[in-house]
Amino acid sequence: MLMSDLLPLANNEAARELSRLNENKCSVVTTSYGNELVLGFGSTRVAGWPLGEIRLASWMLYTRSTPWILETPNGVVATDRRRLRPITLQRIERAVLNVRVRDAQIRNSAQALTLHFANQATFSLLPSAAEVKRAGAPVDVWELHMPDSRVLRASADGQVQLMHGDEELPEPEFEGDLVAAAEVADPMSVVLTTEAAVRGRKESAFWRALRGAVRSLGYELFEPSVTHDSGVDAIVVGPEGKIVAVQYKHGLRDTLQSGMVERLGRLLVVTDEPSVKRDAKSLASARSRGLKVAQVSWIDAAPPEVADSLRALMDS
Amino acid sequence: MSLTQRAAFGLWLEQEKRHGERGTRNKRGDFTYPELLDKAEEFMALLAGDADE
Repeated sequence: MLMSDLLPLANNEAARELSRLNENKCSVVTTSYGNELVLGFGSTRVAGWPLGEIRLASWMLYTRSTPWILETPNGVVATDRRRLRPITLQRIERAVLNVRVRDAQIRNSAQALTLHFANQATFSLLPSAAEVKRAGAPVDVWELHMPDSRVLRASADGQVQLMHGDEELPEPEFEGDLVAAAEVADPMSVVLTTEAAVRGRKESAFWRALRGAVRSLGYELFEPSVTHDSGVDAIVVGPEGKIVAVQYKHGLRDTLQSGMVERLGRLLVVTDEPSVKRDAKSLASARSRGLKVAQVSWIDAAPPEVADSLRALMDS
Repeated sequence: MSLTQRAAFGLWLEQEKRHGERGTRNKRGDFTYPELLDKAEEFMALLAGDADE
């Protein structure tokens, strides 16, 4: 199982992972493209080809484009409001380099992060409550690359995901994605966050939710290994051989017109939109033709609600 | 591009700028969007070890 197959972490789980950073000393202060401050903690090594002499630490905190402030009891040392010139980096180094992290905390649902250092310096990331999405994609608030190739990835929509560093990020699917994103964000953000990446994350979240629900019910899940035209994304087999078709990626209209769905007679529609009202007419029409159909929005719904909908369909 | 590669890509771009491989987006040497796409390709080729350099 890939790390990203895990559900988004609950706050206490994210806090537990984050707490492993405690007691490590700040060992790297550097910048990444786009005026991004990067802090490293713990033992360091030379990155090697193709990064050359750049030093990487066991823990690397990437601040993305999130505002930040570094304070000591004597006042503010640096903020993101100015470009990270060498002199600024030196100030940051003087404040926290070789200083132990006493406590790392996520402060709020926007994944604001604060590192309390042993010398009373405080580094705080300050994500905006308003800026949850940019170019349709949740804004990355921070990424913490951990020693075991795992990555804690926090986004402003309130999620912290535990991923594996080797996991491929979805490529942009067509130029339009990139152009749309490029119009509202700087180029680095395009590399960091694309519509396609968001779709990929949503899709993997859908599969996690569905697999979790099917497992909890003791049903069986069949996932197509190739794209096909049935309008069905997955099939769930329940007790007494009852079958529920599941639609997520395919267009709802195609699915509702699918002969396979008509024959199976039961359909679970999973949507990643918060509101499902706009589908009500199509679904009512399908129901009038005898199709047993339920709809669930996994953005709002916890996996147990996906399971409840599946069970209700099987029992119908 | 993986998460680790993407993080490394950002660090590498800054190193490229320091080494004089600058973009034309502004006087700081940032890259235009097409330049950035080229750099991403170059970086991935370096990682794959099939670059001439």
